[in-house]
Amino acid sequence: MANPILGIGISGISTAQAGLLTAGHNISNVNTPGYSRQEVVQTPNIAQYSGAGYIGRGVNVAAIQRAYDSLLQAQSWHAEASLGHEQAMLDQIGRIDQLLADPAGGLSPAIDAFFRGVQDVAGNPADSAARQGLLAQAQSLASRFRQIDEQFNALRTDVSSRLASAVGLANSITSQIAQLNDRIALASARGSGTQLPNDLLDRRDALVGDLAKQIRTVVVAQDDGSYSIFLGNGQPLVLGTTANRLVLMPGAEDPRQMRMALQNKASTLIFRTDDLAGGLVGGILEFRDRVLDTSQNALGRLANSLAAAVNEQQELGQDRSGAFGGSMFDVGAPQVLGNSGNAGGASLAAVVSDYGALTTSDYRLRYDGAAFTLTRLVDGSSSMFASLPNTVDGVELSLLSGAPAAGDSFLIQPTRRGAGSFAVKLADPNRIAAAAPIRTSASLGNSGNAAISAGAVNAPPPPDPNLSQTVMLTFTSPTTFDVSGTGTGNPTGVTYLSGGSISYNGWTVDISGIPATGDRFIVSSNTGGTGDNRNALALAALQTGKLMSGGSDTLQGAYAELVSAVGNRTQEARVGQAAQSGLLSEVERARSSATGVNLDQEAASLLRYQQAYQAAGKVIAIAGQLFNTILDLG
Amino acid sequence: MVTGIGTKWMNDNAVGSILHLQAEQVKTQQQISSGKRILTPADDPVAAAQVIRSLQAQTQNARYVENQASARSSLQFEEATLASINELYQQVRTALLSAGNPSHTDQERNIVAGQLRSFKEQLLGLANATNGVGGYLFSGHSESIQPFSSAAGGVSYNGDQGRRFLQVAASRQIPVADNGAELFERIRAGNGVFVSAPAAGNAGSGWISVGTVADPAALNGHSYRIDFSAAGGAFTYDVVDATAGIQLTTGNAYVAGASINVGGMQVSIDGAPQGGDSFSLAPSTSQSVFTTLDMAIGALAAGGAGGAGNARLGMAMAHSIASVDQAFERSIALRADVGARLAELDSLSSYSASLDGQFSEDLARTRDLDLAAAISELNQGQLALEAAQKSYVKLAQLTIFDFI
Repeated sequence: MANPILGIGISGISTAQAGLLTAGHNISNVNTPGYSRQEVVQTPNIAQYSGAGYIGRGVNVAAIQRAYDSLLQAQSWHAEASLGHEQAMLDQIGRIDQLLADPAGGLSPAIDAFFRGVQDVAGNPADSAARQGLLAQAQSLASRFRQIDEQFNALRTDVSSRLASAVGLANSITSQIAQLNDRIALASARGSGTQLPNDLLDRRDALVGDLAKQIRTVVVAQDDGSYSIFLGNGQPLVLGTTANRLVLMPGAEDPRQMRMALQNKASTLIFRTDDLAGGLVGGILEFRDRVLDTSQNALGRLANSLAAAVNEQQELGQDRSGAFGGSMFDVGAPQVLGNSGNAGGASLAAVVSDYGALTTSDYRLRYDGAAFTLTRLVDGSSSMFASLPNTVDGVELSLLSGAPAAGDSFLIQPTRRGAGSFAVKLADPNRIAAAAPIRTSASLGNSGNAAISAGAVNAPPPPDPNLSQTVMLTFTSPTTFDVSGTGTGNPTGVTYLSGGSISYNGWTVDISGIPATGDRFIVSSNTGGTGDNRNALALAALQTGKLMSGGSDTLQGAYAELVSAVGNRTQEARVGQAAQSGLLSEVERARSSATGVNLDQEAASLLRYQQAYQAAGKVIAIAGQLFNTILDLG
Repeated sequence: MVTGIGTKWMNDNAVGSILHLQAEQVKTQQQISSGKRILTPADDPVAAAQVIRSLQAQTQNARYVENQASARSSLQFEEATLASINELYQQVRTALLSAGNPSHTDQERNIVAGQLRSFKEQLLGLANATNGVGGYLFSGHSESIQPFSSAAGGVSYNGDQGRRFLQVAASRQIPVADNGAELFERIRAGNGVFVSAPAAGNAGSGWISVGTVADPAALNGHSYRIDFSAAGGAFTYDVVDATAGIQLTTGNAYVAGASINVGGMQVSIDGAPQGGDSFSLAPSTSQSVFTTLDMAIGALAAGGAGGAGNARLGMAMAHSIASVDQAFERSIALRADVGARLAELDSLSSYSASLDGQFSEDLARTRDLDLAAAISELNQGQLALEAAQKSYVKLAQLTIFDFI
């Protein structure tokens, strides 16, 4: 046996060397993401028994260990997924927030300007410039609606491409994790139980963190050192060396709405949005299904309500040529999308029957073979009915053709296209109906003091075909009158009540006061009424009319509600993002404290191992001198 | 062992903090440069909705102010026209009063008739006045149709009985034009309730006053007749309800100038009626002021020879004055109404102005930035940012490697 002192010295040198190497490795990886500090685990060599007891035989390196805290690591992944979700939500909703923020570019000034145009016409109904101005304002209102809607559509496209790239990234990460699982298992098997491929482990943990940013997963460490990775709903993404692929599939109802699915060897599993909370994917899906859809629907509902109300009032009025006014705007129709898996051949139609009752939700209609269930998607409330047609929330659903089979479903989007198809239909400014189509007059020969009101045309359009017929109300006594005129049926002896409404041929007038026998009142067409602005005033009144949400909100009130709702959700996302970001920072601080490289610490290690190295060198030198002492003896 | 902090995290965290502070500074700077507290709705969703509502209300209010100005201009036109009409009625009245003078010669009466013709033309011109932008003031909704046209049979009204309104406040539509039917056509003849008139063939010089309503409750809308008969040297009269065909009283002794009450109406007959003369009392019907003028001109042309003629002319003039007075009253009332509307517009203007101030204040409170606070925030942020940068540089410089 050679000189044991030399052996001890050499063991010290090589251990110090390992320490220096490790410290150097740590220093050079100080900025490597996911890198964990490595440490030399050194143990004394097995001592040799002598008569005096066990004499130590130096040191050896048992293992190079990485600083690791599985709890902190799991917390970090969790925080990454939560932050990814909030960040994605904030990024996307922030764009809608910005879109609605611009006071000049927002919708409200365009609505204001349109109604200013109406007021101009009310002020000067015969003025061509005012009429032309109103049409121009209508055009700019329409283009504002469409611009904002296009922005929504651009967001929708962007969301799809972001989803696609997130899915691509996730797939690439899971296949790398599967490969690393393989290499780690092999490498771990080579050493003893504590000698692990630290850098590979770090890389895999970093990859799991990257995956968490995209999609929330649950990681289960297996005995062989490999990670099994599951989605939140328990579906396996990585099992050992196999990675299942995530895919995007067109929605069964709305093919433009891509859905996430997992491709197994055997089957393809489509996820619901709720299955995928967390990560960029979760945030984007939540944004798309909860915010974007509702916001675009809200804008569409506003467009629909405005267009329908203006059209209705237009149709009750009289244009400059004396004809009934036509529709001013095109109104987008509700969409019905049948599920591609429907077995029956039913074709459904949806028509808005009451614009005031529309909501901002989409609906799903299911048929179970006996009854229909209509679910309002925003709040999940549902109503059941046995047959069609049926009207819910202002939308009438009816069966166009065919019959549904049990299990068939349909997606109904009542207002999605409202803003996109909002357009000005009226081209001729003379067709703006500023006047009312009827006029009333009291005969100059009347000796009583009764007076007749200006009269109104009964809503809703279309007006009665006999509206323009001249109708004469002749009092046969102070309390009764006869009616004569086409369409009235010429009733006689009608009881008169002062201030009561009298309605024939689709108009309503009031006569108040005390008429004398023989007094006559005439309702006739408003021929030549170019200065009449009654209908324009009624159009202008729509701005402050409670047309929305079942008569509880004005047009601009509903818009303010949309802005406020988006603002609220953005603020929520901001707070959520800040909270998650803070949480992640805290977890990372703890993790960095436990596992990160501190250069001062490593500098100290360098000094420590340098000293150990130098001291072990001295041991060797002394062993040499001792050897020389022996030699000198000879 | 005391655990250290990873150097990478230390750097990342310090840089992250500095970036965060910088972002805050940029936001404050944006707020200052735009003067707005709310950059996007998320900054204050409730206030953002409030801003939209306030802006809408303010824009609408501004529109009402414009409408008030337009209504004012239109009503001022109408007011000026009504003032001229009233002046004209005054002159018509004076002319009619002088025409009734029995000492006038035919020639003098012709001069008055000429004056009346000219007044009628002037009145027609005023009735066809425009509002300055080409629309007729008094044609109702038929703004482009000349309301009154003169033809052989008299002046006719071509407009309608509509009235144009403008929205001058959130809950107030004000009439900005009135129709000619009310102003000139629907004028009750006589004293406004009934018309007293001599029968066409009266031979005596008795004349009947315009009369007044003595008992409104007794008015029943019937026509009456007062028939005179000569019995011996005395005159008596019978009162007949012509509508019902009933003789009410007979043989009443005639006292010149005494008042006679019939069916709630009170008239007096003066002068010397003859037997067979008759006077009628009938409920007023609408008579165009132009018809009234035409009738007065006609009466003047017919002349007033003899006692009966003088009486007839005097009565015609007196009744014309009564009818013109009805139109005059209508016009005065309308002018007062227009004046009240103008006064209302003035008060609405100041109301709108104070509303506008209120909205501006609301907007300033909800949307606008408190500049002083923002600048102080900017300074504080600046301080924090500088401190963060300096401390980071200090910390980063501190390393054992400097001493190895």
